[in-house]
Amino acid sequence: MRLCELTVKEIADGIRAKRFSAEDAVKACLSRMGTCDETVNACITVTGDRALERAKAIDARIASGEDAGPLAGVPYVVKDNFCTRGVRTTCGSKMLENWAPTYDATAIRCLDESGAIMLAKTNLDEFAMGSSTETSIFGPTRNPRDLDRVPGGSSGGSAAAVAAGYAPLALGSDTGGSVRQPSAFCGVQGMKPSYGQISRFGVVGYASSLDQVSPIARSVEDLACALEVLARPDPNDTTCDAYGRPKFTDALSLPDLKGKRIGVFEGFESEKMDKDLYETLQKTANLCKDAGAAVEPMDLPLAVRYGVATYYVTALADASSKLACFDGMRYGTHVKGEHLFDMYTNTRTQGFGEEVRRRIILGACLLTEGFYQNYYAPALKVRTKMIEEFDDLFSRFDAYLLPASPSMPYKIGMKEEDPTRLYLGDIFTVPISLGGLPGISLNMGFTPNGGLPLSVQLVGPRYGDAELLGIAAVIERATGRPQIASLGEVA
Amino acid sequence: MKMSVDRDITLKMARAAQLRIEPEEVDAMTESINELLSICSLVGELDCTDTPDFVWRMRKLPSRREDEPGEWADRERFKSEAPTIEGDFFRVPRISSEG
Repeated sequence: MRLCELTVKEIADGIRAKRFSAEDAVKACLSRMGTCDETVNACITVTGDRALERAKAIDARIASGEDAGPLAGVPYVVKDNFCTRGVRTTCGSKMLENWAPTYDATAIRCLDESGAIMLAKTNLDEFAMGSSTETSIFGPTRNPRDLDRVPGGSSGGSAAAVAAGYAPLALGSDTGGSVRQPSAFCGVQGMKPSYGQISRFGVVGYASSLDQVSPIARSVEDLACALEVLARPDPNDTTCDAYGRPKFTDALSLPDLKGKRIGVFEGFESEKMDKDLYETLQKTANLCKDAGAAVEPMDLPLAVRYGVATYYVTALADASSKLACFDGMRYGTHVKGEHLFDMYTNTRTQGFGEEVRRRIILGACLLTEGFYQNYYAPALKVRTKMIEEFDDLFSRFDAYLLPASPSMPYKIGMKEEDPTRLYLGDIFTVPISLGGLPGISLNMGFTPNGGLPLSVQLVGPRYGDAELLGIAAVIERATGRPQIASLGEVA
Repeated sequence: MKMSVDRDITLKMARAAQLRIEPEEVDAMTESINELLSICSLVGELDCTDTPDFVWRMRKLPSRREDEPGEWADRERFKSEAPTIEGDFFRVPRISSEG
């Protein structure tokens, strides 16, 4: 097996046991990236020289008998909305096309301290607003499982990079499904942890009350390894919980699902879903039964009826406030104007793309007198009611299963235009974000004809991340973890 | 209560957000806002009389740093990010077009 096909755990163990070096691992991943990325376009900025330098330093530390960290030498890539000191952080936008931050995001610092090595910054929908990775100024990313299709989004570059074998680990950010949906589309494992689990400091956010740093990998074990170094208190982020985290990898020893109560979400029109994906959900439910779980159908009436509306009000209002900081004054694009407000308007109008401008204006509207009282204020209360509904659900279930997406990845340039499927897509992901719940998009194999990924989503109670990883690991053991995409003639 | 916007409100919203909409884009933007307002009006139909506003519950609040003066990262690095600098200052255009 080539080094670029190994998991996080296999690479970390191999380097620690001196079967190969960090430099070997980094070179193998960079080589794979060099061969394939002209076609896939998952990466915006490759930091190859810096990565090789760091790999040599890690190897020297290991050679001298030093403990270089739990992820020493493990290559990773990161969505280009994480601040990286001295490395440009574009958010896929003209607004930040050439901006190099002066500090690292806490998540980057955690991975650096663990010995992991950053190889590249990955493509995304502009400012993480989208679900296909087609709105970046750096062009669309292609899905490594089928190059004519989108990788999903907004963390499409990160998911595509892991699927293509550029790195065993990627970071993305998930606001309403931006890691779970691309992970499903690219046939990899992606986890949105509980809100408050990982610091958001240094992540250029979309919606502060929803965004969560989220790892993508090719095994559940790797997600747990990543969470173990990423999930910790951070005084720089007041929304990052200071509680003592469990050891996430300990949960992976769960032998079966005996005694677990698993719900299967049935509050949707199954006939509107892709048939293969619906069957995958039923097969996974049966698999859980076979593993000893008590499996029952369940529904979330409030989340189904009000989830999408509450999400849009919350996310767009958040986005409108959050993106107000891009004024052309302190960093990023600057377009001259006759006076201050003229300069603001010129900068923001030319710096933001069409979709971002649209969402900011919608958000501004929702926060205006009259609209605020009729939309934003009620949405805050509905969100509380939805969380109460989740609390009630998790008094009866340990986890629940639902699709990660209602449809297979669509062709590049062909927007998903069926409104029912779009609505279903949102229903499957956004309520989980509104509730701050952990959700794992789990690959369940591929279609026999065409090799498109099949997936489900597994959701647990807030702060039940470790237990959720344990259940996901049992399911993964029964189905096998995904391998890297062959990429045919490209590779 | 379901609300809607017209062209004038759309233009006001854009101005509030420091964005310019070209005249030919205003109708499409107005339609887009109204579609969303229609979907989002659902949030008003649920009786939430005694429901508190949403707030994240945390298991343990993060500790706060001492309220003491401290040094920011070095001044030159921040200045290096700015599009226009004059001496030690960010260069800001005049506030008003008048006078």
